[in-house]
This record gives sequence, C-alpha cells and structure tokens, in this order.
Amino acid sequence: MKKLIGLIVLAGLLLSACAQPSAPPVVQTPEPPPELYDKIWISPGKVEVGNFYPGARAEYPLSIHNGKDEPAQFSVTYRIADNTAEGYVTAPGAAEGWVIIADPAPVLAAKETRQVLIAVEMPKGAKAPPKWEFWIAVNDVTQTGMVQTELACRWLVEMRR
Amino acid sequence: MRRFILGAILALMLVVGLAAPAMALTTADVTVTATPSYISISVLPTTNDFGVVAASSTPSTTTTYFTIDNNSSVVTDQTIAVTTTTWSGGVTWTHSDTCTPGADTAGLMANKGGTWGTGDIIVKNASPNPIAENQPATTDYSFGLKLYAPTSFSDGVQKQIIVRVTAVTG
Repeated sequence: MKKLIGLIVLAGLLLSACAQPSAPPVVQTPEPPPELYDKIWISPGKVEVGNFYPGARAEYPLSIHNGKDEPAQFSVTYRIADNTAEGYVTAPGAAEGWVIIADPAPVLAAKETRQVLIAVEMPKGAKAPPKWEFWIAVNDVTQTGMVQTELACRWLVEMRR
Repeated sequence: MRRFILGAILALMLVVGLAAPAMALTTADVTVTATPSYISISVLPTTNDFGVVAASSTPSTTTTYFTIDNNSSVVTDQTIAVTTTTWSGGVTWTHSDTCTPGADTAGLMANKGGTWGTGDIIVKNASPNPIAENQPATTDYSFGLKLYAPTSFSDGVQKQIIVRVTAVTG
C-alpha cells in the first residue's frame, strides 16, 4: 500500500513538472486607421518583456503592412539601438544571437499586412544587464533613392530580480 | 479505507496537476506586453544630385528639400545616418563621421528646416545622430543635406551614398 501511494505521488509530481509553458500569444492583426491603408507601417512600436531570465523565451509578432500598389520585399533585422529608453542600456553584444526572426525577408503583396514572429531566447548561463534594449528594424528593400526610410520596433527587456 | 485513501490521493493529484501552470505563472513566467501603435514614415523626394562638385566645396539643398511624411500614431524618435562607410563609384570616397573632408574623403550634414550653420547635424555611419527627437504623432517635417566635398579627387566618376532616416517609438 505504501509503495502504491509513493508511486502515485511520484507520478503526480512528474506530471506537474512536465506542465507545458503557455502557448504563444495569439495577436490579432491590428486594425489601422484608414489613412494608413496606402502607407508602409509596422505595429507595435514597442514590446516590453518582463521577468526575463537566462533560459527563458519571449515572443511577439510584428505586423508589417505594404501600402504600395505593387509587391515589396522587406528585410526584418536585429538592430543595435541608436538610443535607449530611460533606464535601459543597449543589449549585450551576444544578444543578436538570441533573437529569432521567423521570416527575415518577407515579400508582401500590395496592401498586404503580415505578422512576422520575433522571439528572444536567452541561453542558460548567459548574462545581461538588468534592463536592456534592442530594435527590430524593417526596411523596404525595393527603395531605390538616395534617401530611404526605416521603421523600428523597440524591444525593452527587464530581467527577473 | 484503502479506496478512500486512493480516491483522496487521485483527487489531490488532479488539483495539483491543474493548478501547476497557474502557480508557475507567479514564479517563472515571462511577461510580454505591447501597446497598439503604428510606426510609419516615408520621404519625398528620394533623390538629390549635387551636380559637378569642386574640391573642398560645400553644395547643399535647401533645408526643407526632403519631407518626411510622418503617419506614426505615437511620438517617435528619428535618427539619420548613411548606410555604408564609403561612397560608391570609381575610386570610392571614405565617409567621414566627423564631417572632416580630406583626399577622397567626404562628409555630410543635415539640417531640419532651419538655417545652414545653425543646428546642423552630422550624418554619420556609426552611432546615428537624432534628426527629430520626440517628433509628434502624424506631424511631418523637412530637412536638407549639405555635402562636404573631398579636398582632392582620384577620379571624376559619379559617387553615391544612401542616407537613411529611422523612426522608432519615442
């Protein structure tokens, strides 16, 4: 009888330990103001990650809209922040290797909006400042002029204390 | 008695199993939050030709030549930079991040709708400078560019460099 109880308790503990993390967030493509229909835009402009720690993963989809009348290819890249939000510092050099961009070169049809999943996966044992920041930059690579534009999303990461 | 104990243990397991993910939330789960906002800028015109330039000359556009059509729904910080360390075409020019011209070395300045010489911004490759900090939502602005031509040239081939304006939530 004691062995049976012991086995049941052990099985319960194992099942509890194997509980899967919650599924990735399901994010509706935002409904933009009508005046943005024929513009190129990204959303959101800022993602805040809290309680992060070595070994953890955080993810959020970045929406990209091609407001042009023809298809356009975009590049979605990790970018060192030109400036940082108050209290944050630029990400450690290794952070570029922690960021996963599901589709770094999406080709969007005219007026299409698409979500590209961005994930940051910090390896166990890696070190980072308490609050750090990186950007995800989106470029329309079909731009040909001397002056071009780039859109960026701030990722603000706060480590667990 | 044995059945009662067994039932109690199974019930306990069920409760613990169901509650485990919720309990994990309070100790280990990472939080991810994003406020809906849109970042959107474009530029017109996209080109400028300084024409034939003389050594050590400083040809410029007007300070309102390029207009940034800003449709961002939030306040943004915008920076300006060149995307490479050299100007392409023939014998390349080195781009000076201090805007110090030299032999086959050129610089660029920007000015946001003001007067040349006042509030000029060096257009660098590394560590881009801000051109519009705390730019209000849906508010356009204009800027110009000034070339600081090399003090001497190795050839007369046309040169080009790409200038990029980046917008991010302020």
